[in-house]
Amino acid sequence: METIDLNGNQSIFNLSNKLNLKEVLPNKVYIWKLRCSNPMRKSFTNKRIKLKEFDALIRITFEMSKRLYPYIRAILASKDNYLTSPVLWDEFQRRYIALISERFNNESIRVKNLIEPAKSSNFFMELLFILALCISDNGDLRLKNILLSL
Amino acid sequence: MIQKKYTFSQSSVKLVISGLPDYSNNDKEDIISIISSWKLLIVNKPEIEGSLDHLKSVIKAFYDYSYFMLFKNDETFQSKLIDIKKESNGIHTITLKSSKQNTKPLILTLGNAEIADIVNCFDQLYISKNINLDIVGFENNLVKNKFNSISKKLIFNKFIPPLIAIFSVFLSSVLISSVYKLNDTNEESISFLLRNKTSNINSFVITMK
Repeated sequence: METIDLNGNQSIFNLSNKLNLKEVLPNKVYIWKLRCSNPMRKSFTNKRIKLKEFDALIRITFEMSKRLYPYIRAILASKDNYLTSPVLWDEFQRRYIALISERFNNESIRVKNLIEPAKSSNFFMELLFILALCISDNGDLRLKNILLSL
Repeated sequence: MIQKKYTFSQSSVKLVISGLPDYSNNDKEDIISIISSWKLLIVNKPEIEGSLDHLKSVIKAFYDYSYFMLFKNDETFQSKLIDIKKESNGIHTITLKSSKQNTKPLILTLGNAEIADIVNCFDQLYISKNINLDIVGFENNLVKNKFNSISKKLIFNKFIPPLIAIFSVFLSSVLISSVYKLNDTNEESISFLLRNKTSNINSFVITMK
C-alpha cells in the first residue's frame, strides 16, 4: 500500500480512526509494532498478532485497496501492455524494491529473491491482482480467506 | 409492461442486465427476476451477449479462473461454453463457444486489469438486491469455503512434522538401546574370558574341586 500511496503510513492511521478501530489500533507506534511482526523485517519483534488486530489490518487493507483501485488497475494495465507503456509498472517495482531493501533483512534468501526484479515481478503482480479482486462489499472477507489460504 | 435495466460498471467493463419482475412471486417493481437479455461490454472488445445459461457459465468461469490464478499452478479453465487460458506473456485468452452449429468461437485477449474489472462487475451483480439471479455459491472458491486447502496445509505443515519428529525419536531410541545391549553382552563375555585367562588360581581351584 505504501508503494502506491506515498503517504501510506498516515493514510493507514487516518483510516483506522475513520473505521472506529482506535480501540484495536490506538496510535501509529502500535501499528508500526504490528508491522514488525513480519519475520522478514530488520526490526522483527516476536509479537503475535491477535485475531482482532488481524481483522483490523484486513479491514484497513480492504478500504485502502478500494480507494486505490484506479492506481492498482493502472499499474496492472501497464504490466499487461509492458511493451507500449512500461513506465507505471517500472516505477511501482522500483519503489517496492527500494522499500523492501530499506526495511527487510537483506541477508535472507527470500528477501534477496524479492529485490531481484526478474524473480519478483510475478509475485508483485499477484499481490496487485489480489488487492484488485478485493474491492467489492464483501472484499474484506475475500481478502481474509485468500490470505489464510495462501 | 416496461422492461427494467440495471448497469454494473467497473473501469473498462460494463454489464447490462435487462428483464422484468416476477409478479407471480410478489416481486416489487424495481426487481428483475426474469432476465430477458444481458450484455458484457469491454472497452475495445466485441460485445458479449447470450442466454441466461450463458451468463451463468461466464460468471462461473471467471470466478473459477480467478481462483485457479491465485491458488493453482494450472492456469486454464475449460467448460462447454467458455475456455480461459493464460498465455506465457501473462495475457489471458478467452474462447467463447457458440451453442449454434457452424458458428466460429469468439476469441478475446484480456489483461489482468480487465479480468479484475470483470470479476468486480460480477461481484456487484452478485451483491445487488435488485436482481434475482440463481448464482449462489459461484464465488465460493474466493469467499467462503477454503477449508479444503487449509486442511491440506494443516496436515502437511502442522501434523506431519511432529509425527516425523516423534517417529525419528522413537527410531533413534530403539537403535541406541539395541547398541547399548550389544555393548553390555560384549563386556560380559570379555570379562568372563579375562577371568578365565588371567585367574589361573581360580581355574586351578575349580579343577581341584
